[in-house]
Amino acid sequence: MLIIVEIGDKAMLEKGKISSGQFYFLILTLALSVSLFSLPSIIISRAKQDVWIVILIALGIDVVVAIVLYVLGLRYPNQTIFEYSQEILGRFLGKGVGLIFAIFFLVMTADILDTIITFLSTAVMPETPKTVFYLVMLLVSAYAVNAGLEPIGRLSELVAPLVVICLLLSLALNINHVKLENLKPVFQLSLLKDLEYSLLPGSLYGICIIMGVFMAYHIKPKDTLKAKLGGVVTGTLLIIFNLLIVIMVFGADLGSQLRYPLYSLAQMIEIGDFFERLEPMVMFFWVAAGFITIAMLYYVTTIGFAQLLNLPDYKPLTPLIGGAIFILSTITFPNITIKDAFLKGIYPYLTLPVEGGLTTLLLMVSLFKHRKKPIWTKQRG
Amino acid sequence: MLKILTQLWNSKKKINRKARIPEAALSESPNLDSQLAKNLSQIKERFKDSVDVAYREFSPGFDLNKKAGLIYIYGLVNSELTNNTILKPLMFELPKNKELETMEQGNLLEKIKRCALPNSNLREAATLQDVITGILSGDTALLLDGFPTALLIETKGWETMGIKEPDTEAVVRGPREGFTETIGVNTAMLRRKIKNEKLRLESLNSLGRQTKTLVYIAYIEGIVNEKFVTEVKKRLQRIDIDGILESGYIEQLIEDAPTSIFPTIGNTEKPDILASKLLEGRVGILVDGTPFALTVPYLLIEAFQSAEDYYSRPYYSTLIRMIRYVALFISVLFPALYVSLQSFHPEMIPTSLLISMAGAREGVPFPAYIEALVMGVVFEIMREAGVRMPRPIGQSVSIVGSLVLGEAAVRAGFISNPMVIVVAITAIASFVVTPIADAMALMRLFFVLCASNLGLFGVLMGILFIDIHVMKLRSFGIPYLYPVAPMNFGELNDVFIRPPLWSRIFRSRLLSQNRVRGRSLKPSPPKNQRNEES
Amino acid sequence: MKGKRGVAFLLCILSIFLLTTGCWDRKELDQVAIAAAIGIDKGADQKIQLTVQIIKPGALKSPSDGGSSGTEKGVWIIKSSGDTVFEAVKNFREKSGRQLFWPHTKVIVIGEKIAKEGILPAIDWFLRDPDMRLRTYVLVTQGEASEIINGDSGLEKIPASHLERMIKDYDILSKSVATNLMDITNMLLSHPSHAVIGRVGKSKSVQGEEEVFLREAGVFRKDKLLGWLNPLETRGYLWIQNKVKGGVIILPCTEEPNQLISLEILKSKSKIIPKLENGTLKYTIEVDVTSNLGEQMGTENLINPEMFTVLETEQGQAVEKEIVTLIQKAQEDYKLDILGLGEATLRELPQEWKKVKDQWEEKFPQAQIEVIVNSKLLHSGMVDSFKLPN
Repeated sequence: MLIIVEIGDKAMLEKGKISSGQFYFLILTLALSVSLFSLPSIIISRAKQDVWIVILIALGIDVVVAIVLYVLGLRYPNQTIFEYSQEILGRFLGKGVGLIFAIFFLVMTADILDTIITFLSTAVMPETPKTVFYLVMLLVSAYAVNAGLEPIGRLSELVAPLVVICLLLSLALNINHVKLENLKPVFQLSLLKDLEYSLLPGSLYGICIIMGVFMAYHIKPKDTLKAKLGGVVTGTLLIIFNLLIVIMVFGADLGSQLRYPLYSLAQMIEIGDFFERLEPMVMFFWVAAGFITIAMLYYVTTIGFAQLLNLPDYKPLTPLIGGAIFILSTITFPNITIKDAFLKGIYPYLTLPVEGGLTTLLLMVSLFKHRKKPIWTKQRG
Repeated sequence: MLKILTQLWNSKKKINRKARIPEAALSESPNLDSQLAKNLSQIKERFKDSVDVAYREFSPGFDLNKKAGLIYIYGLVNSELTNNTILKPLMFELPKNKELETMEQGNLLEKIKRCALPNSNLREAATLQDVITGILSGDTALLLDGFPTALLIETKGWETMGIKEPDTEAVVRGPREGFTETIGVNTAMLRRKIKNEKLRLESLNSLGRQTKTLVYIAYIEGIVNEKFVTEVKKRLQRIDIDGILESGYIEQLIEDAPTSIFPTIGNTEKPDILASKLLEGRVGILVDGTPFALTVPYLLIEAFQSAEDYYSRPYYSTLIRMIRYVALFISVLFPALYVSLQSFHPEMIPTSLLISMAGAREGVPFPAYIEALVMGVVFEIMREAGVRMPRPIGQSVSIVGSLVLGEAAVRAGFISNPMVIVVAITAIASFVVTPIADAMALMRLFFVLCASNLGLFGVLMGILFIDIHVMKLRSFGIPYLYPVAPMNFGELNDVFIRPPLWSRIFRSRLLSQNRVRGRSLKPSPPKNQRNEES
Repeated sequence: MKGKRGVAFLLCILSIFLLTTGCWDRKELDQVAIAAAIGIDKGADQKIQLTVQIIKPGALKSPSDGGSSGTEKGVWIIKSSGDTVFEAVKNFREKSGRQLFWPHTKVIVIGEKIAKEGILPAIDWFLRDPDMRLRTYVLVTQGEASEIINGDSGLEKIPASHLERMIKDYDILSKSVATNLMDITNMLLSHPSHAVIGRVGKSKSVQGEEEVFLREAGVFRKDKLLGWLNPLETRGYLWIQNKVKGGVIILPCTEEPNQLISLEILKSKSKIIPKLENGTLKYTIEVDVTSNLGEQMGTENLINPEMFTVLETEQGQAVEKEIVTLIQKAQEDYKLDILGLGEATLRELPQEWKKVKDQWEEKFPQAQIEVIVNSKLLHSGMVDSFKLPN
């Protein structure tokens, strides 16, 4: 008993708690911002009119992972994925697995940051050096990380509805450009192809294993699954609608040639002959969503390393992790084609084993090792 | 989205259900005891340590062994009346009355009432509650040992001379009185607003090594969250400074976020506003020598809720409240958005507008952000000059500044026309949300700087930075943006709209222990009203 | 301690903003030249020649405001050339003195020579550059595009705005097509169909002033200009494409054939229905037309149910004739699927499409097409027919 309390105290690097609503919006923001930037172009060019099938399969992959993490989270209440992997696999092996997760989050932060900045410097401000964007973004998100989980959660609660409204508006205002016949033909891909193509969106949505950390700080851990699934489903539905509108407006052929089809969709908006080119507004909300995602991934990375190193406070780590993210995101992808090739080829096979494989492994071992442990352990304090 | 709706729906239902739970009936009031000491201690118990309640124990002149007590509230009574019509006759004039010696015990009170109190209005009260109500309305209670009845003698009389309408917080509809520089008058004004013995006015040791300034804290017991009271006391006791000359000294010494540009402690100059804050469960701090009282905890939404909203009918108030948010947006972001649109994203500007803006900018020597910064600073200079000057001169300063200077600058081609319009709108909008006007001015310059380098992206990063900062803030433990973030759907109704008074059933959960404000129903005319006409 | 760090952080961010006052993407409005229209030609030396209309904001100020008098032209026209479009665009800096600002470009005009050699190379830059919008209109012209860009407007100070309004209202007349960058790219990219792009031209008015007009359309094989459609054929094309919003149908009076009747098209709707009958593909083009009686030159009494039925039939035949003319032109002259039959097949019968996909060029001219027109007449205006007293 005493030992558990001690672990519990050490675990509380973060004193804040997030509510179900905040959890929902955090996951929604994450799901949206991983699929707004580089995903649409790749997935439309691959699956054409079948995008919705592909994304639904990807959603399926994510639901499975979510359930695995949910069960794990219930079995080890108040512990993050970094901590219970140590409890499940033992100190040494567990630290190794925890390290893999932490590095995974680090790489994901760098990757998404790079995606957003690439978008900014391709579509919005081509002359500004990327380094400036990186630095500003990282500085502000470091401030957010040090502010703790609560401000990030509250920010998502404010920003996510705005992003959703912005996406819905870019749907609604393009209604007059829509050509319904562009949606045909469907079911042109074999099931195997569908599965193969869904690996990329699946692995992107898989970043939602961030819930393995957030669940420890959730006020009502029992509601985590509901909030998480709600967030991902809302996010994927929005994305599906937007992609379908893209196909309806541009056609599958042009749609797959555009680098940022959703952004180009916003370019098409025209309100009453007067307001045109509202895409900087769209950029505004997208980058806001992207920022929250970066902040939470950055936060999770920091807290992960802090817990692996048994630090009493995670804040001193923030600048170090920030530096690592900066270096990773600036050196990894020298140009846009390499990034594309990476996303299309290697990315799913690199991340899915972590997102799906390692988590399932943890659950298996846990079920085997702590057989007697009830599925639902009562929440302490 | 659906989730939000259902949550909203559920919270509505919950409120309605709770509203039907009847509140416990008012506890009945005990009768007065015949022992003076017991009565006094009972009354003291009810008033706790409120500093403005005076207890005067004395012996009437006819019998030095007899004990009597006077209870009244400083500031509500005219002390001259009390002295001349109560104390003087009882102590000096009554003994001369020869009849007194033949008087029996039981009739003593009657006798005093009849021949010893030269006061036109005088009542008897038998219960403790009556006595307290009388005292709170400005009467003086006279208690005599051995009698279970008190005499309530009308001695109402309060300061009206020095009270004038405050310059800040002017209203069209609503009370026009403002606090004065004297703390005794201020407490009386507060008592007159809240005639309840549960309004506590506690004194702390006078603050300031040299000045020994009186500082009172005010709160309503039973409504306030006790944590605030202890916290306020704790923080006030920590103050160690040579002088307290204004409540601003105290504000800066006890605030939660001294490094933030946002105020975490509110201030007001008007008793009705202070009363309404106390009724919400807040704690007030009154300082001698200044008309400004402090209120804690202070949330950002209070800057958008004006007392007048609640005095006038809800529809227009709602519109005005929305306009305050728009004004905040304009005042903080408009110059930055103008700079980023015209210097970074001109594609967003409709062509015809862009052409006229470009035409106006032809020949202007400075880049737009320099223009915005310069105009921002010039505006602050003119505002400051206008405030400090005597009023007639101040007006001419602002006329010279805004009209002559602006027109000349545009004519000479130093500044472009649109920028003058932008700055003018910004300046006017900044006067709408006065409580955080200084934070807004700083933010405006900050955002112009952000916009000048990175356009909309910079503005976005600035907004996110400020957002996170504000979300981190707490005022006495309450999140600064509550109830917007963390979101509380049940309490959002008083944020963007001004709900009708009959629907404001509950106080804020975090602020108050006793959440029920009242249970008035939606007013409706009687059903048979029409019959009377025919 | 905590507070100190916050302050340090704030200072850090502020100093970054202040110290890095570079001007990466900042463009002041008085340092850019706003382009309103651009024409692309190929010069005799095989170089790309661009002609651009630049808005002069100073000239558009109202005279009371220190602006010039009303006679000054609102635009400035300059030319530049280069081996590629991008180079030519950059070469504008040789002359312009200001950075050209493209997002407000209304129209891109492509000269005949380039159109014949292929328009995709010419519009690639416009698609790739983030400044350009996909909704910019693209037109072809017979002859040099610079002629059109040079053209003046008697009404607007910016000729490009004049042109833009004409293009936006193309469907009021339905004599030409409005095509923007997105439409064109779509037509070029989708496999079976070929592009049809509106044509802009210039002529002399009675007073000898130059007039820019929008009429007819160019037919493209892949991205190369093949020939032109006349106004009636263009409307035939628009009927099939479901793009007719208005226009006039002229019919002869039944009793006095030398007198004419004008019908005003109110709305129309069409669709292409591919069918598979006994292994061969058959197409039905179904068009609904609704119109009003707009004018009657004869004295015949038309305002009765019988005559309206007759007129409806005649209107149907007239529309059918326009469509059939176009189909013949497409199948026999150009042998090009500009109708969108292939696309309809692809959407409705994807399995069948896979079989014919590769021989579509040969199959299209033999395709059997049936045209059905559902014609309707609604109102007759403020008066009945006039009968002159004998």
